[in-house]
Amino acid sequence: MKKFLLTVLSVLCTPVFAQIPDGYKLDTITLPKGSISLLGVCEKNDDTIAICTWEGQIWEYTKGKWHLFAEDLMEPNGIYYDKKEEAYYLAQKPELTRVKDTNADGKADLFETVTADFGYTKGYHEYHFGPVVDSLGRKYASLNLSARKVDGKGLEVRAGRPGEHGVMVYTAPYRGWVYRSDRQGHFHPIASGFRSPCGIGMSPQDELFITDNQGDWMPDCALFHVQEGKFYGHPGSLAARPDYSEEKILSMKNEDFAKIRTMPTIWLPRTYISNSPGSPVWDTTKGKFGFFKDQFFIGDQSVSNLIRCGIEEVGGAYQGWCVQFLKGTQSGTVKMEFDKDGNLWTAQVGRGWRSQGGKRTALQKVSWDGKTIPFEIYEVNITKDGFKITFTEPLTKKVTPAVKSWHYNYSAIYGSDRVDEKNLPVQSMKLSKDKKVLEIKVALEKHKVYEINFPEMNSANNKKLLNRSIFYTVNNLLTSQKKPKRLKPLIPGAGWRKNDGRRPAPAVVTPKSFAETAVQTPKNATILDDAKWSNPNWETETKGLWKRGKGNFATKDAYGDARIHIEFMAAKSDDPKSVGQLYGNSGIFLMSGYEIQVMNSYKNPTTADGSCGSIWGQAPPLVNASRPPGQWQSYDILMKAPIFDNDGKLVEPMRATIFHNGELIHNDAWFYGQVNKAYQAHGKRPLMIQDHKGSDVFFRNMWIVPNVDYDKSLEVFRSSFKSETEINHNVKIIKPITVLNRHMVSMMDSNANEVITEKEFLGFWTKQFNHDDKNKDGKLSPEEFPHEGAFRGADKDKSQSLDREEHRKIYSDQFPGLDKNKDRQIDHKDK
Amino acid sequence: MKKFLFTFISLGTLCQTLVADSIKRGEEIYKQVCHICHGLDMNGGIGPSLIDDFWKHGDSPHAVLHSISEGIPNTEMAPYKQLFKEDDLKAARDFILSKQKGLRSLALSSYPKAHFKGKKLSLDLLKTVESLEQKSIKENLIYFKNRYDAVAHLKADLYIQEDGVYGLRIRKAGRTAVYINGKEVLFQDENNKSLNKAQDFKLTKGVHKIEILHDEKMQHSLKFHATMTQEGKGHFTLMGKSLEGSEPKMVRAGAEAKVIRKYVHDISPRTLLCLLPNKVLVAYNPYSGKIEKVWKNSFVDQTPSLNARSALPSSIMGQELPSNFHGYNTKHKIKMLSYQSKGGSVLIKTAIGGKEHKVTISPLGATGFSLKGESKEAIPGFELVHEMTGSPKTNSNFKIDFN
Repeated sequence: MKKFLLTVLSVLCTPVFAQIPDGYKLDTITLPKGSISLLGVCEKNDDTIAICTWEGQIWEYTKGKWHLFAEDLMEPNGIYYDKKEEAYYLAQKPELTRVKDTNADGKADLFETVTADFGYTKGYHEYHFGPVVDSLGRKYASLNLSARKVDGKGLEVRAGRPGEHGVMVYTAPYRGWVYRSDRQGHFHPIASGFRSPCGIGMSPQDELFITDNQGDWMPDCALFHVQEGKFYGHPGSLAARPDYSEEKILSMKNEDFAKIRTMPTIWLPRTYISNSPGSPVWDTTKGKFGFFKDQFFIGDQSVSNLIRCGIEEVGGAYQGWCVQFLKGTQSGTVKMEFDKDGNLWTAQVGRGWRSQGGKRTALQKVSWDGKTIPFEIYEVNITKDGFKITFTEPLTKKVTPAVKSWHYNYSAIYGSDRVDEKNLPVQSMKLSKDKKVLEIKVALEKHKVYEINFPEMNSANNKKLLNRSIFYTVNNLLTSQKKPKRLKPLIPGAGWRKNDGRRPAPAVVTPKSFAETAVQTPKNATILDDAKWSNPNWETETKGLWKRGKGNFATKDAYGDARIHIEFMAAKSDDPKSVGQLYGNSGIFLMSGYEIQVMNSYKNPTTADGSCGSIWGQAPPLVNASRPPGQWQSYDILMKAPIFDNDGKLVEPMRATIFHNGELIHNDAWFYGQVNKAYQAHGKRPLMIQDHKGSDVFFRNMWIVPNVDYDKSLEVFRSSFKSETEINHNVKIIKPITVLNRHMVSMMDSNANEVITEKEFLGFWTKQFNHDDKNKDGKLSPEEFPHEGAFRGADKDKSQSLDREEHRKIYSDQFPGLDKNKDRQIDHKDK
Repeated sequence: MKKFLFTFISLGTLCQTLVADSIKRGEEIYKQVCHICHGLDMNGGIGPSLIDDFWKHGDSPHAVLHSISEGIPNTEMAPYKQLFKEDDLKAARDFILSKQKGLRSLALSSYPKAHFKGKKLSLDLLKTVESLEQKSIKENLIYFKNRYDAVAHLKADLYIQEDGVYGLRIRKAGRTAVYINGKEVLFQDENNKSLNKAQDFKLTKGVHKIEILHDEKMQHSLKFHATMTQEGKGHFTLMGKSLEGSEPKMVRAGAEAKVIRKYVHDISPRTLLCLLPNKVLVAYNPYSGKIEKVWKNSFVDQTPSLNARSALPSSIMGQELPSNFHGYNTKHKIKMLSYQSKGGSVLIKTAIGGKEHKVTISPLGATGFSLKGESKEAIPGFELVHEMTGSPKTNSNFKIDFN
């Protein structure tokens, strides 16, 4: 009996039998006492690894010892250490924070808000994941939707799904988005449509990837390549886009959303691969972690495994594969980081969703012995008529895998079953000479997931194949189209190459009239009249009116930091050649090198990063605020010159905040270089306007205020074109109502003025009637209204049911009771 | 079995009369010594509360006696065996135990799940199986283990303060059977609702035996929540939730001011909880310029949030002060630039319409604080909101004392 018990016990205590590839091992690091659940891990320096915890601490692990660096933070869901700034960046729930120890006593003492320009209500699931960093040092993070409405408020897109709840809700600005914020006060939303974007990672090529969890509008777990301006599937977050309104979103159907959504790069099939995927990390260890260069790893919180993935560009978009790498971690991985020795640190937490590993939390380290090659599927590539599967070790012979394919339904219902799942015959096979590459021929279709499953087998070196199933997501099929010889450069963090015609055009908004957006010329402005310009070719018969002419048009004086105003007009042109870039093309070259595009972008489509208001070849304007050709338009620019050190190295890039016709089109944007050129050290340079082929462009009323302090002027400048009421975001301090609890107040007080009128009060309760009337018979039974006393009192006719009138009476009688001072409203004076 | 139980209960009653004198003596000792740290109402002060559910060093009669006589190393709790005779130490213990309500002296065993498959959970079934493991639980929490392969059996003392008719309610959390003094009082099975039953029962003041059999259900959070109702008297929570072995966490004032970010009911998100060295806690929202609430003699109890993925609010303990100072209004959006603990004060930097504004919250006397505002440039439309005569209203450079 005892023996039997022991066996039972040992089986129970090892919930998952660890499956670790040959040559790898998994070490567990003892956590500090009191650290409850890990949410992030990063390398601070060669000796120190840091973790952050759900309970709000940062711990540092140096040579086997733990040190508490910071505490009392709010649910930091990810941590990054900036070695240059000697500071941590932390995604606290309410803000992205820079944490510093300024007096070098080993404890954090300064907590700087990098950004809080996204909404955060008290919705519990409004997690904030990140940050990850691109090679320019810029920070990226993602924002979870709320699981529920908060105080009855929020946009819940059900698109016909019956019932209540079960759909994640957009409760505040930029929930469901990924954003970039690289310095204090800067916030730049990048892409929308995420549900629970727990995983965020930056590839070595500065491309951003997100993993999301299956659920409503997310048919399965998936990895997405984030391209600026795109929408990735969960509709609530569309509300933050200027081209979508709540009404428009609620009127849309599944197929409307399907048309605009971007499919995942890799589906991570539920149960087999993932359930709650975490952040991807790229193997940048240069061989220290094995032979998986350019591939990346993702951990999963529920399945307690790590997976290995790879991508390839097919038909102009990424797609790729995933295969399990290791299974049986103690808890579930959310974030990972490689240290300098090539060890993979995994921050694990299983609490809440329960991980198969069984432990609430763990810090484990995966390392490679430096020599052993495990027998694994190395990668899969799509071919014209099937797949090419590469192994790490030679096979003994041709082996036929079982191949399956399926796709998913896209709707507000939680997750999707595999749709149209079918077994596909392998039509033919070819094994390479070195017996490592197996090519199989199978029927291929777009938008399908393929599972390629091998039978149990050993390699020629007699090693067992540990992970036998690999999953490939086909978004596009290979075509005979040749790849361009020279690819245009990638725009860092944007996910696009320069001048990509597929980049989404900015949302069109109708600007205010010219008169409404007119600005007064400041007293200290330098008026740029004929005398200030060096090229007479642009002069016209009318003084103060210039027409684009031969040669670029530059000021005689040189300028640096400045506030600039320019008015321009693309003349109306009936010439059929006046389309795209040829309709009124010119450009404002700040400091003679940094271009803001000028052209007609009113109903004249062109590349997004080449349209009017774009930083040419780098960033489209936030909105398209163009007026029709023939109408005067304005640019109001606040710019900060780039800073170079004595060796000519860039210290701080050029920045600008720009309004087009009174609409903000660049919010403290960063220039990646000059137009078509990298940064080259320079001092002040003339302001220049470009000569370009195309229909006529006119300029007038131009002035510049030189030597403006950019950082100091920014906040005021940003609110230049908004009326006082628009910029008054503050909730006025109003004394709170005390006769009702806060929850009731927030639901009833629709305009948040801490005054509840009888109309608001009764309006809330009459709506409640519809909610309570479950069987929709227009009456409330005692079950539907389970307040015995009130029921009896109101049910005058003893019908054992309340009609609307009786129900309303209950509350109209209650109101005077709450309105103690009888001023016909509930406010702070009622005590 | 029944006979045995009767004997057991009568023995229990007998013991109670014997300890009555001891309790009286214990109360005297408590009022001489213990109350200084643990409070007259036993709610805690320097030392922890003696009537809540958390017993870090054990809640069995033996463990409590041990803590009193041997003290707790590295704390202010001294070994009192040097001061009092053993009878007096026991008297102090008896007095403390006489004030308890709810579960104490928990012991948990687990049994292979297969043994209960297809059968109704019952104490009788335990007789025919060997347990996988048994352990006592120091803290008074039901500590089911997030373990879905075993049936848990929890034994505990149930302290009742008043004779009466009681009922028991358990949140749906899997198959559960509850026995009090050996008699089944509740059974629930979500899969077979026809079996579900709960009945009211009489209990006298004193200590009773409770046993819970629980077949844990896979669920999102580790909750096992039971409330005991007393006829005509309302209810109390019988057990807390599993902290999964972590300790209760109270954040108390220290020599340096602390800024705490935690979810607290009825406080706006993004509010800074500034806990000053004089135990005054100012809930200051830097994004609205609003003082949301103020407490004195306070600390922050983060325990409820610990096993709940921080989904449950932390609570601020202490005395809330009525406020006649509400903060300030401005014309522009306020941006928080940074917060920082500086000595005993909290320094918060904001930008209002692009102009830097510093707010310093400092302790003042035993129960007050001062709020100082500073800006180099004038901030238009700045307006302080308070009902304190003689204090400034419109200048962004100000200092207001709140006592």
